Amino acid sequence: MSAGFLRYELQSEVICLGERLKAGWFRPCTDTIPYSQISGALRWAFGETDLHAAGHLCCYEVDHLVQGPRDRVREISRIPLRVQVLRQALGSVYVLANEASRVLPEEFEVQMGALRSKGLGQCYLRRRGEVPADVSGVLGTLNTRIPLGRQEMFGLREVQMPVHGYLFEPTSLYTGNYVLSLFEGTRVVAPPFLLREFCHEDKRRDLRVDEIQVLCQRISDCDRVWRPYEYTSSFLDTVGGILADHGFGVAGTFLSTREERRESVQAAGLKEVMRLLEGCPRVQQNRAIGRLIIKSLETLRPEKHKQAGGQGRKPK
Amino acid sequence: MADVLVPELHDVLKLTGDHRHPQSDKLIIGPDTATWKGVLYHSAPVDADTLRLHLADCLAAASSRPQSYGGAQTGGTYKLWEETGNPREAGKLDQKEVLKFLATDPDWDAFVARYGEELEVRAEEAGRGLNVTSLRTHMELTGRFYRLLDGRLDLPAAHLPDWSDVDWVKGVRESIAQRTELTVSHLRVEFPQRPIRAKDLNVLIALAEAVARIARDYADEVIFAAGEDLLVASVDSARPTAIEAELVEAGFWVQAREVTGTIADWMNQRGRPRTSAPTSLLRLAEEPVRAIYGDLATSFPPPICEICQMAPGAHAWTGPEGDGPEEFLCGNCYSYRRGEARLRKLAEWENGGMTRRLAWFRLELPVPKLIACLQGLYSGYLARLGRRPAQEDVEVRFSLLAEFQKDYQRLLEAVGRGLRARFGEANLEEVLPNLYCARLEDPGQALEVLDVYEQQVRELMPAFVQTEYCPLRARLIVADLKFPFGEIWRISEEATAGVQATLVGGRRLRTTHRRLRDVLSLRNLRLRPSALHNLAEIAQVSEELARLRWLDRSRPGDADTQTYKLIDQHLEWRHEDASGLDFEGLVAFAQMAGATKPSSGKA
Repeated sequence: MSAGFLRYELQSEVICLGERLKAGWFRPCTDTIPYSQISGALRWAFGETDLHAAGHLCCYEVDHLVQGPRDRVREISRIPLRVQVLRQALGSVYVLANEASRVLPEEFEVQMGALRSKGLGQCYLRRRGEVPADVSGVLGTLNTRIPLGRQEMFGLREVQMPVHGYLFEPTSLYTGNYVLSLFEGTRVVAPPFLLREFCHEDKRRDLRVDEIQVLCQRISDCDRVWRPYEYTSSFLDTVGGILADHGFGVAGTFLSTREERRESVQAAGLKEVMRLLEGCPRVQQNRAIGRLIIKSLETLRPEKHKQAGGQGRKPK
Repeated sequence: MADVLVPELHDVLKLTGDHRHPQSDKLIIGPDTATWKGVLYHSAPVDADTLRLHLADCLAAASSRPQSYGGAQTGGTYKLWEETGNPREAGKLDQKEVLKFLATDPDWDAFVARYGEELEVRAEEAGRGLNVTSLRTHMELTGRFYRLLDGRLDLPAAHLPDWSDVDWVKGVRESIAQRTELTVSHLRVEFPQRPIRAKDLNVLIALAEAVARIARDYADEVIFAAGEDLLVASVDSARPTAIEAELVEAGFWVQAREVTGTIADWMNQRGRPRTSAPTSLLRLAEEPVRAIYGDLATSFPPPICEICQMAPGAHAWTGPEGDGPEEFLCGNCYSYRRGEARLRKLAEWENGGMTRRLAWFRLELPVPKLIACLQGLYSGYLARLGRRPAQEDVEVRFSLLAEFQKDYQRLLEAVGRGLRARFGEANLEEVLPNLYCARLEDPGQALEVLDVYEQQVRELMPAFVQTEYCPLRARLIVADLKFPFGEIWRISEEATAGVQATLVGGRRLRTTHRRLRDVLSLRNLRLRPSALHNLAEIAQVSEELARLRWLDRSRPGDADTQTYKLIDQHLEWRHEDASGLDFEGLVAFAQMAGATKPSSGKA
């Protein structure tokens, strides 16, 4: 292996790392970051021809989009194109550290993959460190696609069981060749960061978390929410219903009116919940989510608050 | 004396319960044929043919040690995957009648035509613990090894006078067994295409035909064949290479693992020194994989074949009428596209304007997992007999795999019959014996496929249902008719659970064979369809939210909550792993079953 590698974290809202269009109407998507795609994107963005990179994705959601491409020459609409895309993609890109890679900033955006003109493939890369040049290779399963001619550059040795395919390698702005390559699934001795067995480290740092999960955790962690011994189902149903039907303003006002009454402790706790709900954009967009959380509020009660010590109605 | 020795018939006397050594005190007078000589002398060779037969017999044996595990000898075959408890009773045939028939010097087919049923029931070894393969399987396998060893034994010069010398024969036998190598290869046939159109699926049929052709042309070598997997035994190293070359020539690529050992190693007799690491089928899983491709160009200019992306797209395809979008295909893919669509129903459904929901069902049988599972079941069987089995005793040998092959075939046929009965001939396309496609009148029918499958496995291979390590892999993928098959294949390849049902665009239901019935029986509970529908809808927004809804039991009277509690009780959902269904699986179940509104009010 020559120099080391710069490690970048890649995030993309929606991306199609295109395979060839099939039967004129379906474009499948790879779930790794091939050398040809990321290197091409970097070269295009920074004007350096000596940039070499490969990577892999660690989490994403598979989705399908239907496009209606138009044949501009014949002025007709072609049959709908079904595109497989990856949403909320998160991965790692390893750029060979050389003279050309010095132009890469700490954070930048590139466009990669298919249907870029439709807004797909916007990738945000953030520097996450370096991999030293002397990292020793281990036997494992390749998690990216690398041309045979670039094996050495990426420290690939002793290919035990190749899975072959072809990657496009441009020879000029308009021409290029398909070159024999090693695809994901190849058993090879390689640096760990290129191997499937070692990508779990990336998964552990999964940044693509469910907003609702975070919100539920916040509610669970907020002591003021759990001052009441328990919330009555009917009260939760009422508040949840008002929130879903009329919004935060009406629900908040309703709770204020209850602070003088029997449910005062519950109302105070729910106002705290309401504050947390209001801070979540997804709940703002869809208040039915808020209703569901309020209705199931007792499920979030942490263990320490299930004991005595609260206020309001005592447990039976 | 007739010239041809029918090696399969060497153990024919076992049918009469009088399988005796030639030096036995009881002399049986049989016909004057080469086959009869094989019957008499296959355990104590008296010439080159009987020595070859002896070695073939040892290789084809279910166990190398005729060791008793106690109890009465019933003579019936105990099938590990059936685990019927008591082996079937095997009756004894009249010896005179069998000898009379042998006097006609029958070939193997004629013998099977007359005594096939008895051969199936009678175990190769009558003793308990050894009776895991049928006599028929053992005899067939012996015949195959006998032919494989033909001309490969490097025998001492013929007509040496020492055949009567027991020690000399033993020495020759040892020497040959130590010198002759036998290689077992596990070949997995792969195709590079990602089929999209109905005609592209011809590649699957081509693959099945190629595997069937290999199994026919190399009938003696192919010990086991299931789906895309072949297990090949060979003494001649050129044979597996020729098989690989044929498969590559047909447009496929091959993953191969091999274990090579001397015949002595494979026979693995107790007390015999091993030359190296244990030579066993179980070792196949540990061996490195080789990939065998055809000629691959280092580089070529565009266009590339749009289906396989492995060769230049030298042929332009614009549809049968010439008015479709232009596609560039390589010669191989072009030939599939040009050929007749072999799967006619798929094409009919596509044009018929009928329900467009399909359920694809694929059954896989990874050979290494099968070997490991059989070995585990064998250990269990011996342990039940009250002995702690030694490692060599529970080795899965060729005969056990060959025995399983027949029942696996029966399972596939039974699943096919069951699916036809459930969905009707018009709504079912058999792509391959282990790959079916059913048109769903109602999306909720998808789980019916798993129901049919579960019933058949439970009936034919109940022991597999009891173990967590069932080697079978059932894949159900529910998708729109237009959803490309290449993706369906990919989903089924990437699935890891024993049973996995995937709703394209939805969630995955992953469970084990052991818990499949419990999961499927959820449909029999009086569940509110709307409760499952609600859960599925909530999960579309956030799985965490759905989990919250699921766990919320604060309103016991709430109808949805009652449904959730019912499921909870049914699956004993305290630990998700033990329940056989994780939360995502539950949502997938809701999406598959609950999203429909059955007329009976049951989901």
